[in-house]
Amino acid sequence: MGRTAGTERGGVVRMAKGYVGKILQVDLTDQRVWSEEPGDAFYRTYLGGPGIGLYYLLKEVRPGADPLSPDNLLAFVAGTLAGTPGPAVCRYTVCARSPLTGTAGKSEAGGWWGPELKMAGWDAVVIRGRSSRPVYLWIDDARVEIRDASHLWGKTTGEVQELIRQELNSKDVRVAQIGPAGENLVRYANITNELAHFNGRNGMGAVMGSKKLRAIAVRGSKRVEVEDLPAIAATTRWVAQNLKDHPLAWGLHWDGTPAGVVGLNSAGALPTNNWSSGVFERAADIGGAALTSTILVDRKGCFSCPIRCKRVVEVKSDRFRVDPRYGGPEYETLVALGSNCGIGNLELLAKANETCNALGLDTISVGMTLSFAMDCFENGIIEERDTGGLKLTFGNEDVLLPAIEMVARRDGLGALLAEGSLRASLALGRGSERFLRHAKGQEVPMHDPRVKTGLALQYALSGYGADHWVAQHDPLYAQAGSPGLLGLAPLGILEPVPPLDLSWRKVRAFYYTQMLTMAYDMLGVCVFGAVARSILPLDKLVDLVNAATGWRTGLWEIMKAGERATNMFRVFNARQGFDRRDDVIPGLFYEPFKTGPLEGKGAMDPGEFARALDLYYRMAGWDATTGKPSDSKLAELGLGWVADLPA
Amino acid sequence: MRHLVEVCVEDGATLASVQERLGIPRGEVGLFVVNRQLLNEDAPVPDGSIVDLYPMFGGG
Repeated sequence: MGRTAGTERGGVVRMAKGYVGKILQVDLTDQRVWSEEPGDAFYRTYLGGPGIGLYYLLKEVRPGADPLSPDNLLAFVAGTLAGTPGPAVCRYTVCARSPLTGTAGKSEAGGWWGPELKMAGWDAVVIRGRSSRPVYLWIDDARVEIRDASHLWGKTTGEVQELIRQELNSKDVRVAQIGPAGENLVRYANITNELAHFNGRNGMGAVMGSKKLRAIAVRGSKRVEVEDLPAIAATTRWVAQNLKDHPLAWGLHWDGTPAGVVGLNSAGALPTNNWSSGVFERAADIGGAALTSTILVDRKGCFSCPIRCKRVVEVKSDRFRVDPRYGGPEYETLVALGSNCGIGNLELLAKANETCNALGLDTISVGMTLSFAMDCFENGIIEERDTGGLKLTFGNEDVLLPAIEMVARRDGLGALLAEGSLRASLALGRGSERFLRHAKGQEVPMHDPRVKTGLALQYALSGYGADHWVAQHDPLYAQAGSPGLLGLAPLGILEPVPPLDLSWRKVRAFYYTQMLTMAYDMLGVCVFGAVARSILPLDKLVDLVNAATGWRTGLWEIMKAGERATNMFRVFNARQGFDRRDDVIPGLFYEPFKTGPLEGKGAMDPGEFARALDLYYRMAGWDATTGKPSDSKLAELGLGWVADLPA
Repeated sequence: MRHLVEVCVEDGATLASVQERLGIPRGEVGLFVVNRQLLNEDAPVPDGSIVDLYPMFGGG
């Protein structure tokens, strides 16, 4: 299949650049595949990633559709820039109605799969229905095949990647796949590519499992066409050359995300023992410096990324032998499964990370569901006869690996915990809800809003449950003259806003960086590559979009696209019955820290938070009572068509 | 990596000025912990304080 032209409304034809112009459509019930070419205006309006994903969810997933039924839709959508040789712009998004939250689901991954899909000639794969037997999809440029996967079912991700590559007789095939957890419909099962990159959250792996789709293997032979290749290459060289002088980007390279563990612990805000404490005595044992000096064997990156923030670890001890093919633990993993479960053994955590990656589990939700269960166990709500003899106490190193296996395989208590902490608590009752920390059913990630209030806005207002990359984090724009604040100046964020501020200044900074971060996801930009968390400035990003697409666009249109997708989530969720009453944070954050240097401090004020939400809704053009986007806001964003969606 | 450095500053000096005195660029420090208490960069440093500086961290 050759290059395609995108057709604009009005019959004007322009060459597809940056994006490819074709979307692969799949119906697994009928075992049918076809291609759609939606045209340049479509790509410029919805870009890629969650923009295109939500377009299909809105059009095809009816209100009340069971997320694990054939009625759900599963979209893999590359970012606009993915596959171009730009710096840290390789990401793709998986969207479906989430079986964990019931909202629209959205989860990004880096790695190599998104660029490979583009090089095979596709911007996205949109999957419907359900196969009657296990299958995998094989995309070899224009040739698409639905193949039997019965022999792969039940195997680990590492085994399946090898088997598929052997079967297709190619080491170059990129495989996005679920593990046994996804097959078993664990509501927080993930999707992995290259065994070490993850669409981690929202249970997208369970949706894939419900469709009996084990993997999507891709091989592409074509280069993604762009408007100005030398300009893109120059931007990547600029990042590579300036990386060492940028403290945030270089920090990501050197110690990776685990660098955050020790500082947060010293401040007294490291989630510990299911968030009952902010101090963990063994934090230094599981932090970035410890990891770098002990088990780190390599630093890896994603397609065309000079930063290379990914950890590769190896453990050779007999007790916890860890295979470096599965990468290494991130900050979220070291805390969710580590301090949050009272575990301070780095080799064990590396093994737990490998186990989750081999079985296809989101490390945040499994860590948080296990810590919930540990609290229930220590308080007599779960007993040893329920756990199959496991003593589910905080800090018990003997239970972590067996408990993860139980969840992935739905063995014993694992069947309950595989439903996620909220559903488990509803089934258990007996006051267990006091141990929940979630928003819209998704367990909170490892960032305490009591030291950065913007995270409370992220958790409450996210269109896909508690998430820590809805917007840029408060410390990044809290200091005058800092790279983060200077980087956000083109948005009009010019003055520092303190981490604990919850005034109009914070709501405004949150709103703008929420639109920006959503636009990043649509373009395929990694938050660890661009401002405020990293090095690529916004003017260079805009130049990159133009060098890829030839659109001659600006920051305004890009920000509007982010706002558009944010509103598409809100519309989808409203159609599924969500309203302002669901925009809540765990009650824990209205209580002060109980231990450590912040003891007695930090409690958020419910009235102040409600006022911040009020202001946000009005700022967004949403009804302050229901939280629904107004008709005029939707029209302004070019979304007037959602009024015509069938009820 | 832990480095211990003794710094003299004028009365009422802020944490930001301590950072400047140490030659650490703006925005590199995300957490200022003074005598085990988390403070903002514009807080004054009491005499004889032990100040821990941790790198900026905004999203893992």
